[in-house]
Amino acid sequence: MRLILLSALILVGLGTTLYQVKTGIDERQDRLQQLELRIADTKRDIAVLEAEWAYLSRPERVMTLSGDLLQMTPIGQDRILPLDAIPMRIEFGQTGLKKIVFNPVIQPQKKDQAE
Amino acid sequence: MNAPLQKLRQLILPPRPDPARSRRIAEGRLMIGCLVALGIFITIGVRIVGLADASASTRLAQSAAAITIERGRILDRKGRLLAGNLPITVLHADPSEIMDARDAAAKLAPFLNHHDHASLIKLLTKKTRYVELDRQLPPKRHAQILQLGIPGVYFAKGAVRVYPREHAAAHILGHVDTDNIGIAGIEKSLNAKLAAGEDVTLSIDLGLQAVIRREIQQQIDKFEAIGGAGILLDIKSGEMLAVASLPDFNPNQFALASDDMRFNRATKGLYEMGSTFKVLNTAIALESGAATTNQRFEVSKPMRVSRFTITDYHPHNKPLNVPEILIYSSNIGSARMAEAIGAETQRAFMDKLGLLDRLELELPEISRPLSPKRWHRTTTVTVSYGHGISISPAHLASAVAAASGNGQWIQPTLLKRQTGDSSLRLRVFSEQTARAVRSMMRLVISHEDGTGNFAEARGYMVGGKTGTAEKIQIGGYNKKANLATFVATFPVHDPRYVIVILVDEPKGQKHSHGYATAGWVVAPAIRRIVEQIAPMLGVLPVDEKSPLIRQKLLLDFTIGNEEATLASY
Repeated sequence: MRLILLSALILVGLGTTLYQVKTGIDERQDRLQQLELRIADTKRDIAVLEAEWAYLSRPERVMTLSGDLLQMTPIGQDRILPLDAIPMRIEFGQTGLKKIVFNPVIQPQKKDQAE
Repeated sequence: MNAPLQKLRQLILPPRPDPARSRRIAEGRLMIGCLVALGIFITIGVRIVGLADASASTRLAQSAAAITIERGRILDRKGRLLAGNLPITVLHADPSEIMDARDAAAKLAPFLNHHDHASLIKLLTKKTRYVELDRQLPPKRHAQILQLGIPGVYFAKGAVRVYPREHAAAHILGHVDTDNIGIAGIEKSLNAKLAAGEDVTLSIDLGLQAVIRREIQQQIDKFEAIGGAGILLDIKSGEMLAVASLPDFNPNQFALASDDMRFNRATKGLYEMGSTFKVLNTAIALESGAATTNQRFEVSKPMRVSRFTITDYHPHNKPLNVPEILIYSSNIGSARMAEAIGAETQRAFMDKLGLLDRLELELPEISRPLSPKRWHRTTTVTVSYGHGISISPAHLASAVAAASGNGQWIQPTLLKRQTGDSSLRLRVFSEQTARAVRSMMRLVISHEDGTGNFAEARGYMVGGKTGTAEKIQIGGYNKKANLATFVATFPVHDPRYVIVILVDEPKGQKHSHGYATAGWVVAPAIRRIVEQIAPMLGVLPVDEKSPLIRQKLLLDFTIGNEEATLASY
């Protein structure tokens, strides 16, 4: 008798758990679907922005804009130096620590002043 | 105490039945109750499990329908987008659900670009269940049509292939048809991979591509040419960093492009490359032992080979050595060297350099070079200065990369290679030969008598060779239609890149004193290209006179009457 009562109670418990698990799954699946939709939407937005950015950053466009608006020109070979060619002054402090000072030689540009 | 209680109980409750019997009855009832309850719970349990399973499977089906695999993107070597997908809305209708086609057409007509009232009626009365009204509906129109509330009109999400960089690398990317299946370029050759949703990373660098494309376009405009092509090849990896063909087209409007625009001159076009072949001829002569650098060849008299007479543009009255033949671009000297090489050897080298077969690039637009079936004496002689064999600019770039780089021919590619990627490598020339060849190529540009002076980009150690060939026409050569080619290697002390630029049918201009030769047409473009791309590639300018640079090149050439030094420009 007691066994039957006990098993009935267990059955009730199991039934309730099963029901809760089921509704839990439902809820989670809804959430998952929502998230998936949001991800898909965001991906679409990213694709649009990416395409737009790619279109706006076309080298042809950037070259034209930098030339027209910023007066930029290709850099001349005389303005490129390896790091070794830049004179560095090594200073020895009182404590004996080395201090490297970046000391480029800047020459005034006469052309700019004339304009 | 007990007796009165007992009396009370008898008054309220009926007399107790037999305990044993009542226990049996109670147990029986309880058992039945339990079984019923059990049955109910089992039914509910089974139902719950069944329902949960059913809803999951329908959901899965729905999400599978919503997420279709998107075509993979095409990226340049630095991950910049070259081809991608843009989400769009497709407007379609089910004519069987349209109640009043005339009314629906009248309402829809103002919002659609491709249809008017009459054509809409025709579409909406069709006996199908699906008609497409607009493939690319802008969001605003979408909202407006939604407001109309016409039953039977539906919206679907779709994607359209876009090429945001427009003209740049158009020939490489190719195109897809309306069903998103590749029909040209990488889109076609790697269609399976792209259709599976995988991204493809090309060896192309968009920035370099844009510079090269612009400079060729500028020369085409300046010299009223009909087209051009350019290739930048990484000698060490065989990767093509830029491949340009002009005129080109906007892949977003593929239908508007003419056949000439769609034609990829860089990989499919076959040309007699002219004097640029002398670079290969020199390398073959040195490698096969047919000549040494200081060996002299007689060039004073025009040379007759069967029915051809070979002459030089600038005749020389004394024998020329190998570097001089290259620097002055002597046809007679090259022909004599080729005769010393011999037909068999020459053909074998051409084969090793991949000039007799199709170049296996990842493009459908490639072609097999035109070369003679039998290698006669005339063939040997004409091939030495780039006639009698037609190859694509891509072929030339990979062959010159072998001759002026480290002597190895590397299978070129349009896809990004990982470092240490085992690509097809074939030793064709020794390091020593390649070093001699590029030292001579340097003199073509740096020596005052060289044909490529205008290509000098100071500090970047450019070596090269010009080629101006008359174009073939039916029954011979067209004296008025030239093909100006320039092949350059830089920096020659540490060869890393080969550039091939070709300008098709340039016309002599006032500013070029009537010349339409490669030295005038293409060499200046090479200089500007190198000056722009060297900083992008991390190539530092060097002092040509420094011993460190000089020891990496061969300098003991005698050019003209004096010892040539690479510093003499």
